[in-house]
Amino acid sequence: MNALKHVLALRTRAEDAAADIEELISSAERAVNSVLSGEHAQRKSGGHEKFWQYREYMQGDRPQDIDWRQSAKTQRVYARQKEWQNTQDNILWCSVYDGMNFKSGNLPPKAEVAKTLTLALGLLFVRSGERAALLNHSNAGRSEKSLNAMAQELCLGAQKTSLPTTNKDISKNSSLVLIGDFLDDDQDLKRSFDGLSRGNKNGLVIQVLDPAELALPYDGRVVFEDMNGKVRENIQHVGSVRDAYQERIKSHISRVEGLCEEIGWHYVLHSTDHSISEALRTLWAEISQ
Amino acid sequence: MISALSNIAFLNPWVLLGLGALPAIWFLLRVMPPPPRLVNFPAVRFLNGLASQQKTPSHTPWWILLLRLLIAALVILALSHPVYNPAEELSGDAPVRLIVDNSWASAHAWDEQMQAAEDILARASRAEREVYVLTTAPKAGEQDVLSEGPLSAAQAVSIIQALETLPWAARYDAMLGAIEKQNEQGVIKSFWFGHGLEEGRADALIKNLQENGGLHYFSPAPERLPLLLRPAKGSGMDMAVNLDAPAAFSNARRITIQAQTGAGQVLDQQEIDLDESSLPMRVSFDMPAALSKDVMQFRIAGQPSAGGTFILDDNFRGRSVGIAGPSDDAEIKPFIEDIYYLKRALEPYSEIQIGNIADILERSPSMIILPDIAAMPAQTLNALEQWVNDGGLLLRFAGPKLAEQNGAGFLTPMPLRAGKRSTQGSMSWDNSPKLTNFEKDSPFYGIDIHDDVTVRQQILPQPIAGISEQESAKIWANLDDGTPLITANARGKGMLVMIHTTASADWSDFALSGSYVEVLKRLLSLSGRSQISDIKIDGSLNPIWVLGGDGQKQKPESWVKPIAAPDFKTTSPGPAHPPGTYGQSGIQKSLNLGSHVGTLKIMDDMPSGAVKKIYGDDYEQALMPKLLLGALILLMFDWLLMIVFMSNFRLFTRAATVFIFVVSAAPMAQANDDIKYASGLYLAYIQTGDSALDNLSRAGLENLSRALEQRTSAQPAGVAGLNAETDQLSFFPLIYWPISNVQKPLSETALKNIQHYLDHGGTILFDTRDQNMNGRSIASGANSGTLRTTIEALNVPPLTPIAKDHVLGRCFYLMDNFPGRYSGGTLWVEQNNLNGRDGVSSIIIGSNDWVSAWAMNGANQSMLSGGSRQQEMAQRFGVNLVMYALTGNYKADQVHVPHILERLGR
Repeated sequence: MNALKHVLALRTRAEDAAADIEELISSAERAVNSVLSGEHAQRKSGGHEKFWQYREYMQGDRPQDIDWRQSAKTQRVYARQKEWQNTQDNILWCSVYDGMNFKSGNLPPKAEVAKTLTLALGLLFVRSGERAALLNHSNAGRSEKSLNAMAQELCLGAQKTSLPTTNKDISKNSSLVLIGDFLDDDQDLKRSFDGLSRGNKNGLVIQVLDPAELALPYDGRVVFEDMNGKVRENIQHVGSVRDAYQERIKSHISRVEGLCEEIGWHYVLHSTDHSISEALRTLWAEISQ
Repeated sequence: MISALSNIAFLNPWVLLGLGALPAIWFLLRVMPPPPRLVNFPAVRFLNGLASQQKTPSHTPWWILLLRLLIAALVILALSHPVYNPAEELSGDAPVRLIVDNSWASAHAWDEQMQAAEDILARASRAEREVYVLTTAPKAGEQDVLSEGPLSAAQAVSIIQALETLPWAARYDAMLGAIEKQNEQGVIKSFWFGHGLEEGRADALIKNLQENGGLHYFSPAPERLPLLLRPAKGSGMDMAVNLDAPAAFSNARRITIQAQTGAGQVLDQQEIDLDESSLPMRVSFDMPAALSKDVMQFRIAGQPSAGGTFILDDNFRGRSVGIAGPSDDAEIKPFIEDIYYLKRALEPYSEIQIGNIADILERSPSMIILPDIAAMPAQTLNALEQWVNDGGLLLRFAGPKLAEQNGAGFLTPMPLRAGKRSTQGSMSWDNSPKLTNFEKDSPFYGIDIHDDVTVRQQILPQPIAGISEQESAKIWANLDDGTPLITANARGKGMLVMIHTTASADWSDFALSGSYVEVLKRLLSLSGRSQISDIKIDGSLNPIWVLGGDGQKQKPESWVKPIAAPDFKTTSPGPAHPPGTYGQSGIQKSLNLGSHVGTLKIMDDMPSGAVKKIYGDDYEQALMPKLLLGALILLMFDWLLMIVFMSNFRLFTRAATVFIFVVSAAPMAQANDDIKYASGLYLAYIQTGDSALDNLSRAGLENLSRALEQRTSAQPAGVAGLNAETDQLSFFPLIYWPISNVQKPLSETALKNIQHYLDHGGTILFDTRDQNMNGRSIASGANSGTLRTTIEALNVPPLTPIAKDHVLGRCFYLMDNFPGRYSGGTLWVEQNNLNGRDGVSSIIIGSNDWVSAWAMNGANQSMLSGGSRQQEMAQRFGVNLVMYALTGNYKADQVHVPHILERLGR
């Protein structure tokens, strides 16, 4: 009986999680659709099946590459050239720990935003013919299947860490995308980033923060507690410390940014009150450069 | 201040111990600051160390503490049941007797009496005494006064509260009996809540009360003593009444006396300063006779009481007169017909009915006049004779027709000679006889006679044979040759009067002289009365309506008994006969307190030991409700403060500033607007809430007012956008109402506002702007639904499509259709003839979107389908519309000018 109960509970949780995955994927798709309308093109000729340009037929071109319709219009013979394609490994990491569950007002929790961003970026990479995988997961793939696996991993399995670490070598060709709130102290951050980069300059750090964390919009007497209830601060009059707090959080953000600059990575700050698709568009532009 | 405090007593003083707990409450409130909010916050690391920087104290501010302590203290004080001005407790332990003066005179001080009585009852209740209740005036319809007891204080309260002023006098003898009966129970302490007057002899009564437990007599302050209206001596037609007051009445008080119609409408009023030395004071009203015939009663203004109301009876009021002749509607030829003279003479003083005798008799007037009527159907004659026998006054005039009758006259004071006597025939050589002065025994004695009144022709009475008849027949006026001009004779209870010449100027100058009017007036005052001859009324006079103790008219209830007619003069108002109007057919008599109440005497001699007090403000007042209210208000304030602290303070202050600004500025702005709008002609539109449409309306009307300025003499001062709910609409002759589907349904106040506007001459042009009203039904367009719901709750007269020759199409420009942005839609106006509204339809409904055509700037111009010609027509419609609203039927009359000119030419 007990076992049955346990199984049933597990089943319900799994179903809830599955629904979450669906939702995550669909929200990522929504965000992606608005981005893909602007093409992430490589702008060079290659072996991809996508058409790139017409070029005059030259010796050595395969006859089946000749575009007869185009050639019939003029005296010359044109061949279709296809886009060059370079498969690249994109390694994504999304921070999952209790602090990410914070939200203020009607805004979505940071975790939700971060996960959506992660999956959306994965989708974008896959759609544009690259490979995407989560950090510490080998199954980098280019298919929908690998994306589903990624979504599943994000919703269910991810280990709870506030900072990315790895024991694998990351190839110099692959690019890293790290998404989280990065509120840890500077030493930990530096250690983590250095361990990942090892000379890899293809990195992007997306710091996802709630506007409340930026502005501290509380008043009166408030007890602040971290998400685990381990650290407590009893503030009698929040208004009086607001400016000091904002000063501190700003300097922290600029330190994170500085850290990225040092390694040669890109840095983007995303506040959860901004739209995800907007953010994705700027990110994609950043990546496509 | 200290004396005020010493006037407070606590009924539950032990509750005050609770005040000792206040320090404890203080302590509890201090150590329990409001709980902090708990916020889970990932960035809590960055708050580390910041907490020590701030210095705000952690406990509640002292002034909030003070506020809460005050609330607690107020509640404790309220629970201790404090009373202000505590009445001294009743001495002794005897039961208490409350004597309440509830006769007619108590109406003036009734509230004070009640308050004092309830005050004593409250004390009796605290002392748990038995209570007896006694009134001075007998109960309605009975001879006995109300006497109850022994009762509990609670029972007595309900009896006291059910008491009311009765419109008749007190009966001290009946009271004495009741008191003696109550005294059988033992010694009773008496409190008499009086109205200040002694009605008859109260010596024995007071002595009895004083000897049986003591007496406290309360009387009102001198200015609250009762007043009484008494009949004024004088002739019947004079409008006057006497004002009486007790001698101790404070002098130089200004009293207003009103002459009212039966329905209470004030026709005239006189202010009079009371003067102790000249009581009763005569107040006479100098009113036009036409008005005075409507006066039914006199009243002391602001003091409704039976004594302060004096009802007039037939002697004063104009009477109805029937004149036999063609019906009322028939045209009377001026200066030729008899009826013309009679009507002119009597109209100001009486209600006149002209018609055939049978009809007149049905209305049973006081007087019937037969001008030169020589024959009538036998049945009518019988009825007429019966009416005279029953007390009517029949006035007959001679004339050619009667002269034809050769003496076989009917219903004449004396038998008539055959034929007429002419003093100007070819065979006569005397001058025509003149009217002589009236004899002393004539009812016309005193009327001035002009020398030049001559009588040229007359019908003479026969000398009377029988002595008995001679005695009853009287000659009221003679000519200087000795022949009678006016004769009279009693017939049954009524009277026959004959004037032996014509009612017109045919036979004499009498009808042209002022004496004619005076004689008719005197006759009028004789009619319906029994004083002149020995007319007696038999049977009984039934109550028609009676006065309540508060001087208000009431339908007589079953206990009001009829009064036997012969006894009427000696009957004084009493429990069976309250003052009022009593009557039977043709006769109405009024029964007034003022005619029967004796001298107004102050109740002043009290035996030694009796206490006399004046009603004052020394009543005890419970303070508990006030304290609780104060605590509640403070609590609300505290609660508001908490809300402010909990929520975002800055937001609140900003909102509060805006609110205060709006609240203080709004009425000022409103008043300024009203003055502005009242001082000029403003075209107005209703704001729909759709800002684009509102701007369009404003622009359109501004252009229209420019056009009006250029083309007409109307000079609009500007354009006003109105909110149907809050704005005063009455300044605007015309309101343009574009219907928009975003418009919210109108509220009750808005509907009332609009209805008031429409009912008082306003005009509203509803424009559905959707060009969909070609058919018969109004409601087919998209906006028509909105219009329909808007108008549904309004009382709108029936509408009709505009007629071809409607004034709207004629009043400035000649127009057959009324295009706006669209053309061809039907215009709907009121169907009725609009007599009361100066010919202007209160509602005009169309669909042509005129305002867009008027607005005429850039973008809107292109919207016009018909181009600039149509635009011009739209402007013209606007001009016509404003002209129509402003001028009304003046322009309607102009439409008929050709016909009028044609008629004048003819």
